[in-house]
This record gives sequence, structure tokens and C-alpha cells, in this order.
Amino acid sequence: MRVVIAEDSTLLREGLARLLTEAGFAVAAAVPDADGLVAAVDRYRPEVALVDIRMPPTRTDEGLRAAVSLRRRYPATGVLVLSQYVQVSYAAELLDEGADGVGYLLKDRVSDLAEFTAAVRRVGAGGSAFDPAVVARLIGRRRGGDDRLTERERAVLALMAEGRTNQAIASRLHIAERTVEKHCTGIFTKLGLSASPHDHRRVLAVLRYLNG
Amino acid sequence: MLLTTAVLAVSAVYVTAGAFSRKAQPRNRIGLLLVLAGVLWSVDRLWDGPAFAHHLVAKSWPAVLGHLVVAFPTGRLLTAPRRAVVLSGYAAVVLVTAAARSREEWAYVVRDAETPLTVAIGSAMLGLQLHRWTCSSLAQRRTLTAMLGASVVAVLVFAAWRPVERAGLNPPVVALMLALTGIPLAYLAGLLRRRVDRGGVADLVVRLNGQGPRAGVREALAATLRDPGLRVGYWVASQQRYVDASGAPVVADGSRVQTRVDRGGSPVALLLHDPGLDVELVDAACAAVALALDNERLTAELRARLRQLDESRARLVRAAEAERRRLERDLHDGVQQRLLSVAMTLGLAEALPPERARDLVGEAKSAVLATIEDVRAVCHGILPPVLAERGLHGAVRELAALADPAAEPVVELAGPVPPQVETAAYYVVAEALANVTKHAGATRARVVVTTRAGTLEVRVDDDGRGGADARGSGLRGLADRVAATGGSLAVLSVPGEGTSVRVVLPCGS
Repeated sequence: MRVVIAEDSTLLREGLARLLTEAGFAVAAAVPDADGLVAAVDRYRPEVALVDIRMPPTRTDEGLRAAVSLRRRYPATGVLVLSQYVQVSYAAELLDEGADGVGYLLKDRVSDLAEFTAAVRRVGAGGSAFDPAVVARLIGRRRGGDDRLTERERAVLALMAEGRTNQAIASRLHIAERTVEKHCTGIFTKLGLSASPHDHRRVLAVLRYLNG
Repeated sequence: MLLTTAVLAVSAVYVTAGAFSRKAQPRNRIGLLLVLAGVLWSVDRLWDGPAFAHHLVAKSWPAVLGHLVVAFPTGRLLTAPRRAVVLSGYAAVVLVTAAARSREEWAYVVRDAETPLTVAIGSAMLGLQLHRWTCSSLAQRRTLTAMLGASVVAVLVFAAWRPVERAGLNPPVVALMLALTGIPLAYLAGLLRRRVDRGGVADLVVRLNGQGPRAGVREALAATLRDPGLRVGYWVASQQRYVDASGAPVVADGSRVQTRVDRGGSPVALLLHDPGLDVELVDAACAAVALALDNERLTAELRARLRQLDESRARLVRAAEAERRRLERDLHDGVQQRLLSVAMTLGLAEALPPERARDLVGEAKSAVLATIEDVRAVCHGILPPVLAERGLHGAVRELAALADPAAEPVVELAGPVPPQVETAAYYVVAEALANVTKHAGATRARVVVTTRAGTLEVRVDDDGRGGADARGSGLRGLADRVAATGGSLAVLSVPGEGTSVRVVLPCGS
């Protein structure tokens, strides 16, 4: 799987490249700014672009804007945004173009190699990867409205929103995949969500629901 | 002949005083009573007629005079005892006049009782006036004293007249006449003093506009109105209240009368003065000093603003100092200690065989991640990252999305907003929405941020339970932040009707 990395800190850029190469990815390019990112994506057409939010020249939201524009211009390239902070509104912005091939993770997550590379692969394969912190915030905000769900269902909902497969949810919660499926159906019925709980678009449905 | 002239002269004094009074205070009944007393007095002394009506009218002058004394200076009988005593005066005249023409038993009793009756009613009148005098303020006493003195003389002489006459001593009519003249003269003296006081208003204008050391408007007004305790409150529009020259708020108390001074329809100042002051004089003085008061008001407004700024700056400095200490503590106790422990753990791992080092490396990694979390929190405290990354627009969206209920964000910025204004606006929205989430129990909330004519307006409205306390610590801290940028904050929070926090921040460059 080919990746392009955009990160202005040399230390982190090199670190990410090494880590991903180690994990079997082909790092096509590692660039320090948004313009370089767009050029590299245009040239290498990678499966995934890893994008830092703060990059030169203003070090504000260049990365986020580049990510949104990449999603529009190169739908075949998954975009995984990495940041020091998570903001609910950024997630909403990234989801404007759907939940296919998109991710938004805290930079901390690179410390868990297996989890992190799994997330990159998921995004590269057209899935999604949302940080547990984003999901927790979304769920936390709706504390009033979700009395309908059981505690277990809430846990499943959170993992679904992160973009995990039923299999991953099952192994994380130490339950059978069949049970996860049952929970998913229950959640979708209770919340009145229209998409099918088995559909690959379920992340979008869940996140849109959580986003209010 | 001489007597007739003297009687007419007394009458003339009354009529003249009455005429002056009508001219000076057309609606005051004192003038009418003076004229009436003067005319009836001469009728009584110079014309004798057989008719009962004639007698009744002629003999009623002492009652009219008593009425005048009791009604002084307003011309109105404001309390029940005063009305009663004046009425009994008139009733006594009717009774005595009727008794003088009757030959029946009761008439003799009345005739014998005439003097005690006169003394009783006269003393009651004097008593009332004396009581009023003791209850009066200094300014009121200035008006009352002369009249009180004249009334005492008149009542004493009049009451003594009949017993002396009956004793066959034939007292000189001149004494009575002189005693009676005191009342209109005292009244005229009062009018004259008012004239002089009004003249003082002209002096006031000269004094305020003149060269040399300028007296304060308050001092000048106090001197002119002869009310040393006079207080002046200047209107401060931004605070919607009156403050004194030092910027402290002016609070009315019950013992003083408030007179508002307006200029061009908008409030300028509030005078707290002695209730006994002549209203027309106060009005004249106010009109004369309105311009000076307006100037003083602007100065007072400035001082009040400075005072407010001083206070909020002091609070901000304290808050900033506390913040620095907190930052230092967070970095020292959190970040430094954790990193030290990481270095220690890794050092240990280095010295151990690889299979035993594994756990230690994992431990070190957890510590580093925890440190990152600490640093993130510290950074968030310094400047909210979303504000740094996306500006006010994105920050308001983020805050609105996190509120419960999710608020509707409306952000319309015509141009770039200075960073300090952005930060102030961010905290206004953050605090207001935090209050909505915590306290309002609202079903809907709305954040509107717009630029208008060099200002940034922030409005956070909800439909919750209202009744927010604008002096609570959260809103107070907000008010300080807003004041530091020169802006203003208003909180409208009617119980049951939601809360509206409105902030205007100047953002001219």
C-alpha cells in the first residue's frame, strides 16, 4: 500500500516514514507542507495520504483544508488527518464528502503500531478511522438523548463510529461477532437510523447521528 | 380721619403683598388670602352695617388670616389637623357673630367663651406651625421662621385685645395694626429673598464660566441653593446609572428629593437636594448649570470608566499572575517529573537483558503519552488550539457543536478581527455556552457573531430557565475580559424567558 506523508516537523516526518516502511507500506513521498502534499498525491496517486493539520506557511489549518480538497479532487486516495488536538467540527468537515477513505486521529495513536497501521490500512481500503477521543466527545455531548441504549450498545456504537469492523469490535469487546451484529441492529432500530447496520456506510450514519 | 388712613394703610399692605404674591406664584392661594384678609379687615374697621351677612363677612378676617398662616407657604392645607384647625376658625367666626346678635341663653355662654376660644384656636395654629418648624430642614426653616415670628406676635396681640378691651383699658388700635402688618411684611421679605436667590443663579453662571479657580459644579450649586448637603449624580450611559464626581454610584435616600436634569432629551444629572428648596429656584439653577453639568458628567463618566478599568485591570493582573503560577506548577510537577521518570525507566531498560527490558519500555511509552496529554492541556489553557487553527469562525462552530443543546452558529465577519478581540469573543462564547449547558436547561441556543461599524458583536441566546446572576463569578470574569478590550457586556435573563448574553467589543485597528 502506497502512502504519502505531509508533516512539517522533520523528526515526526522521518519517524512516521520509518514506522510505516517497517510495517510494510511503501512511502512514496514525505513532504513538509500542503503544496508539496497536493503535488505528491497528484504524482503518485497513493492509497493513503497522512496529513498534519498545522503546516507552513501560517501553521494554522493548511493541512485540514488540503485534506478536504484532496478528498474532493482525488476520491481514490484515502485521507488520514493527524493532529495534536481533536475537534468535533473538523470531523464534521471531513465527513462532508462521506465517510469513505477518511480518518482523523490524534498523533498519540502512532505509539501503538498495530492499531495505527490497521487504521492506515482501513482508510487506504476505503474505510474510516475516527479517534476514540472524537467519538467520546460526540457521545458525551449527547448524554441526555441516549438513555435508550444499553451500556454494551453504547460501547458498540463508539467502536462503530471509530470505523471498526464487526470482527474488530467483537475481539475488542471479547464477544462473538454474531452478538456484535445483533447489537448493531438493535442500535440502528433504537436510534431510527436509515442505513443498514451491515452497510459500509454505517459509519457515516452513526457519526452524522452523533453530530446532531 | 387718621384712624381711617391707618386702617386703609394696613389693608393696602395686605393687598399689595397679595398682588406681588399672585404675580410671583400665580397658582399659590396665599396671594388670594392676603388680599381677602386685607379687604375684610378694612370692611370690619370702617363700615358698620346692620345685616348679619355683613357682620359675618367683616368679622371673618381673623379666620382668613389664620387660614393664611396655616397654609403658608404652599397655600394648601395638606394635613387633616391643619384643615380641622382652619375650619374651626371659620366656624368660630360664624358662632361668635351669631351669638353677638342673639339674646338667648347660649349666646351669653358663647360671648363669655369667645376669648378662650380665640386663644385655643390661635394656639392650635401656632402649635401646628411650630411643630412644622421643628420637623423642617434648614432650607425650609429659612422660609418658615419669619412668618412664624410674625404669626406669634399677631395671634398674641389679637387674642389679648378683647380681654384688655373688656377690662376697660382701651388699648391703642395702632398696636393691633402694627402686629397685623407683620404677616404681609414677613411674606414680602420671603418673596424678596427668593428674588435674591434667583439673582444668585445668575451669579452661579458667572462663577462657573468665570476665570480663576473654578469651583466644582456641586459646590457652586450647594452655595447658590443654600443646601450644603446637596449631592449631584452624573449620568453614565454605559453603566445606566448615576455616579458622583469620583465615579462612585449615587444612591438616593429617602430624606432628599431627586430632581433630574436633562439636556436635549437625554439625562445629564440627578440632584439630591433638600425637600424644602423652592422648586422653581432649583429648576432655574438646573437650567443655568445644565451645560456645566453635562461637562462634569462627561468627566465623571470618564472617571467612572477609569475606575472600572482600574478594577478590571487589577483583577486581570491577579488572574494572569495566578495563571502563570499554575502554568509553572503544571510544567514542573507534571511534564518535568514524568519526563524524568521516563529517562530513568529507559536507563534501567538499557541496562537489562532485552526480554526483561520490554515491560519497562512499555511503561516508558505510557508515561510519554501521559506527558503529551499534560502538555496538550497546558497548551489549551494558553490558547485554545481551534482558535489558533481556524480563527473565530471555526472556534465558534466547534463550541456551538459541543454545547448541549447544540447551538446554531451564525458568524458574519466583514474583515479580519484583531487577535485579542478574537480571544475575548472566544471566551465570551465559551463561557456563555458553558452556562447554557450547565444551567439553562434550554431546548435551543444560538450564537451570533457579527462585525458592525468597527465593533464585534457577540450574542448568545437560549430559551432556558433564565434568572442568571450577572454578578456570578463566571460572568464577572467575562465582564473583566470584555472591559479590558474596552467593550461592554449585558446579560438579559428573565426567569422563565431564557438568557441573552450580549457583548460589544471594539475592534478598530
